[in-house]
Parts: sequence; C-alpha cells; structure tokens
Amino acid sequence: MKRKATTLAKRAKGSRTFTNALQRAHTFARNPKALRALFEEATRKVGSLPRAPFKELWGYFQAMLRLIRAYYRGQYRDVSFANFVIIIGAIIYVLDPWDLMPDWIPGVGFLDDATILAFAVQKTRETLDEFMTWESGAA
Amino acid sequence: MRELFNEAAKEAATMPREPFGDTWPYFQAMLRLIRAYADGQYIGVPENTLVVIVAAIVYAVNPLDVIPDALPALGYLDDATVVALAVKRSREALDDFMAWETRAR
Repeated sequence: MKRKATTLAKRAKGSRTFTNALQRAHTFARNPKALRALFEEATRKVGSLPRAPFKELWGYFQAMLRLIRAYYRGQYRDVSFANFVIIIGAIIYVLDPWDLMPDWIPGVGFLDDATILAFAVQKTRETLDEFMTWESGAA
Repeated sequence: MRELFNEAAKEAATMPREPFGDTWPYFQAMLRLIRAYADGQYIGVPENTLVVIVAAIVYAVNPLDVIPDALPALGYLDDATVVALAVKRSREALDDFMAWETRAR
C-alpha cells in the first residue's frame, strides 16, 4: 500500500497536468488579477470538493487559499517566488478535473490531488506556518 | 475570550510546531475562530464545539500541564494529543469556519 502511494505521488508530480500547472503558476505569481481570479474560482469550487481524501491537509489547503488572497491584496508578501509557484501550482492542479486520475472517478478521483497537495505542503510548510502566525497577530 | 486569544496567539508564535504535525493549521484556525467569535464577526459555531475548542487552547497555552512544556522534546506531546482530539471533535465546525473566512472577508 505504501509503495503504491509513493508510485502515485511520483506519477502525479511527473504528470503533464502538474508540469503545466507549475508553468501557469509562474505567470500567475506575477499577476495579482490572475491570482484573484484563481482565488475566486477556488472558493467557488471548494465547496464541492470531497474533504475525505485530503484528510488533515485540508487545513493547509485552506491556508494556501488565504495566502493567495492576502498576496494579491498586497497585505502579505513574505513568501519566496519558488514557494509561491509551488503553492499556486498545487491549487491549479487540485482545481483541474482532468488530471492524472480524473476527479469524477468515484473513490479514487482525488487521490492524486491529495498527493500533489502533500508534496506542496512538504515543500512550503514553513511559509504557510509563518503566514498563519502573521494572520493571528495582524488584527 | 479576546484576552484568551491574545495570550494564545502570542504563545503559539513561540511554540514548536513539529509535535502538532498536520493539525497545526487547525490549531491556528481555532485561534482565529475564537477571535472572530469574541469580535462578534462569526457566531455560527455550536456551543459544545466552542467549549471543546476553548478547552484545547487553554490546555495548549498552559505551560504547567501533564507534561510541563519546559521539558525538552516531550513537553508538547500532551498538548499535541489534546489538540488532535479537539480537532477530531470540532473538525466540521473548523472547516465551516475556514470556508466562511474565504467567502466573507
């Protein structure tokens, strides 16, 4: 089971969907308007995503969304370009229904999304934790 | 309640995050929920869930608990366990709160 999970993670990371998502993320990261559109699309779609496959990563996923909003509003920019691209790329991947395992496949459609999210959290955890500390100290 | 938030937020900024693992964002969400509740911005949380959340925060912030926080490496294991338990019981309310955060502000 564990080996299966790592294989899936590798395939999801190497998938064309994720490579494309990262490429798009590069342009998004420099464009507040595009970030805003992405944020709004995400909040529209997020209600219909199943939370179960994401387990507790859901909390980090929500933090990513709030970070993107704080960024395009100019309230918070304390994130490296490289980390920001990974965060945006992961969000684009999760929102794309036609990824490695299409999202409409019952039961497994979001497993690849969860592995991409886990990868992004592993890379950017410190950034996200610092952002949340900022959130609770800001107001 | 607002005081609890202020104290907890200050404390949380210096707490080690590793023992909490993936529940850390939920712990932070608890803090923001308490703030939003105290400020009257968000009241859509059932009372018994609110009690669980407040209790978990009070426990995590208190340095003299079952395993005192000053003990190296072990000091926060009990806090992480309590927070994990509270997350289990209040998960839906916290998810709803975070959904509200991205919608409303």
